Amino acid sequence: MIELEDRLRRHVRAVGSSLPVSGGGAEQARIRGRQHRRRRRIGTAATLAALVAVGALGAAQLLDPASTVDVAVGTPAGPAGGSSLSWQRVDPVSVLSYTDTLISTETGTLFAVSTTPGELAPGDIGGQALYRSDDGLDWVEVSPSAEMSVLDLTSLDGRLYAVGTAAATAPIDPDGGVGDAVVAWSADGGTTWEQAVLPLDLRELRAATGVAGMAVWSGSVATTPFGVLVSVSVQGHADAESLVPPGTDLSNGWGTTAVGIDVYAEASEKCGAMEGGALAPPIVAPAPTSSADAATPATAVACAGDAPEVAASFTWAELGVSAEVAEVLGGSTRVFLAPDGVRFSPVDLPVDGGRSVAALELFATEDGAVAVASTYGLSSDGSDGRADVFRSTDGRTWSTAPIPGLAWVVDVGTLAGRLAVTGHDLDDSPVLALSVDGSTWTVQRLDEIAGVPSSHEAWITSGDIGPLGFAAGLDVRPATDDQAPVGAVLLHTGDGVTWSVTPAAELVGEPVSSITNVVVGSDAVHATALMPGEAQGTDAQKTVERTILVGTPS
Amino acid sequence: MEPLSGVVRVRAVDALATADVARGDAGGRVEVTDGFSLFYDGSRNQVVRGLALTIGDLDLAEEAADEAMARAFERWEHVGALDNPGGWAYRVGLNWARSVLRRRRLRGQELYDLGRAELGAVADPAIHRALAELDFKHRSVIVCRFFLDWSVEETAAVLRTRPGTVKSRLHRATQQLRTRLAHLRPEDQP
Repeated sequence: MIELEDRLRRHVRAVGSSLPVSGGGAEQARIRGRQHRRRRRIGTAATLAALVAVGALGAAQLLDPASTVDVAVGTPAGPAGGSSLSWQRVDPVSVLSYTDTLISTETGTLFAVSTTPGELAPGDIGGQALYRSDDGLDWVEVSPSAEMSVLDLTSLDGRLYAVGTAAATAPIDPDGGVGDAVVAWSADGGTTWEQAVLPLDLRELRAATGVAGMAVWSGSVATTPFGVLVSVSVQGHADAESLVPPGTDLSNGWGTTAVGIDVYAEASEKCGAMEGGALAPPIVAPAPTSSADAATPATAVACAGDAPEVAASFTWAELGVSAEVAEVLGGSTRVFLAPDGVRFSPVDLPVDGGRSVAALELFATEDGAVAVASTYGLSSDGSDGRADVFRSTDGRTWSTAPIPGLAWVVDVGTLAGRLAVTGHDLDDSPVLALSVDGSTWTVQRLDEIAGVPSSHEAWITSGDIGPLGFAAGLDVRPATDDQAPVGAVLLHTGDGVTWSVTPAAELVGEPVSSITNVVVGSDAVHATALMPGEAQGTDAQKTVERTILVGTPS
Repeated sequence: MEPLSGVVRVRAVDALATADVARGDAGGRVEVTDGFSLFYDGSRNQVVRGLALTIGDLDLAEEAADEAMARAFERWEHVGALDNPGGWAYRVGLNWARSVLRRRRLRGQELYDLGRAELGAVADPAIHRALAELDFKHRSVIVCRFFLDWSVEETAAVLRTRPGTVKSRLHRATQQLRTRLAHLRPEDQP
């Protein structure tokens, strides 16, 4: 053990010391800290105003410590009703580790792209591979002949389809090598594969001027009535130093947007000047909030927010970047269709101008296909994120509509005859959106359905929409205490109206820190419960960290 | 390797409490520094490195450290009085980074991508890959203990957990690493 610890120590010190850290400077931290203070004052004022508005009684109740609600995940507060599933804990023979994609075929067979299952495979440090299971409890590795880094899987009529990058390349290669994006299919349960290369020349894009690196980081595949539809999300990394005009000061940072590069300013001048009529002194000891500080609303508005001030903006065209390369540098998702399943050609989605598609989920319907995109506009941090849905019956012409209240997509499917999309809104709250026609949406807050108190935050750790409905695992914890234990809850609905909410700990019989690998099949719902994993009591050799929860129609 | 002690040992409050430090140079010009500057200069880059090793993304680590440093400045009267302000910054940065990751829908393992260019030739690839498979809480214990050189008690205080939990996480993390590395190092097998 000591030898291993020494090896660990040497490694982390060597790597840590070699990291090329660039400094921002103490003054930058001060500027940012002052902005925090101003924003906090604004927030406090707004809160007080809101409290006045809701009335003294409401305010008193809100501020009364006795009204503080403990974590009570699983207390249904939304639509009540019995679960259509009966859950039980089943200790598996083997259990998946970290899983990229997990699907259930029409016959109920499960396929997953995962690192080596659990601790039951000693001697393997766990490269990613394709695994198959008939019951979700015992997984066997399938060796695809076409080695590839798989981004997504789907199945139809006994055939398995995968989209990813070719074996000789990695999804992200800092040395610059980047290879083919490929689609592979197997008719024998993943044992042997054929593959086709997508018409996307990543090498040429990588070699273009101003591109410092290239990543293929997301993909989706669907087998539709009009052919195999795939998407790959490509993100180029700009080499800003080689692109911006000579003399441009990049020392304060820069960022890419959907339309070009923003060069950040040293924010002190603008904020400092507005704050006191003169530049803030270089060294300012933190001062307590004063009434004088509070009486500077114009300053607060001008300097509020985390976004750095922009000193200069350059469009890709101004920087001499071609439209094709610019698209990749801004983050690009390409869609391809193969009517025969073999020969792929590009498909154009009618994405709003100025918006980039960060990720795309494809889904086959009875009469066509649906693509739901997580998009963003000029903001590079996703703060103006929005989900857009695209529908087509031929794969070539697409209608589009935004899904109000949804920013980031987790999964797409159909639920009781309605189109269903689950994900998170701009406030990071978990939601389920339902639509009959694809243009008018009803959005439900999953944390409200689960009865999560407003003092807590909840997020989807894994969710799936399948034949038996929609199931998801939520992590829940106090919003103001990052160190508080996380509670996990399982949600399920067969129709989007009647829900069951079950604390995972009740099912497992011990604390559960998270739910992963939720997959909704035709005869069962599987989920993996992660236990805290520390040795407890005298059970110092405790090794079980995961167990399987199986929900079957009752 | 640069000294590690600067991360946690700078009792910046001391400098602040004894008034700003003024020093004159040969030209008679006076530069003034303060406790926060001392803390920042001594801690920031090591906090970045510790966060990068924990979350696996150098860019995000830098952003998280900058956010933590801004919050430290904002609350300097409190943070500067702590025994381990660097630990405070590490924890705040880690929590901030985790919230960003949740927003991006990424898990720690998925993100762990310190590229080869960042690793250099000094890294132990097998250890690196095995580390990448650990979750945040186990990796953070390893980083606190083996990179930032904090004691079990200091690590527990930083991560707001009990020393016994730190020990058990460390035990479990090394056990898991040993399992992962067993085929490479037969002598390490349990």
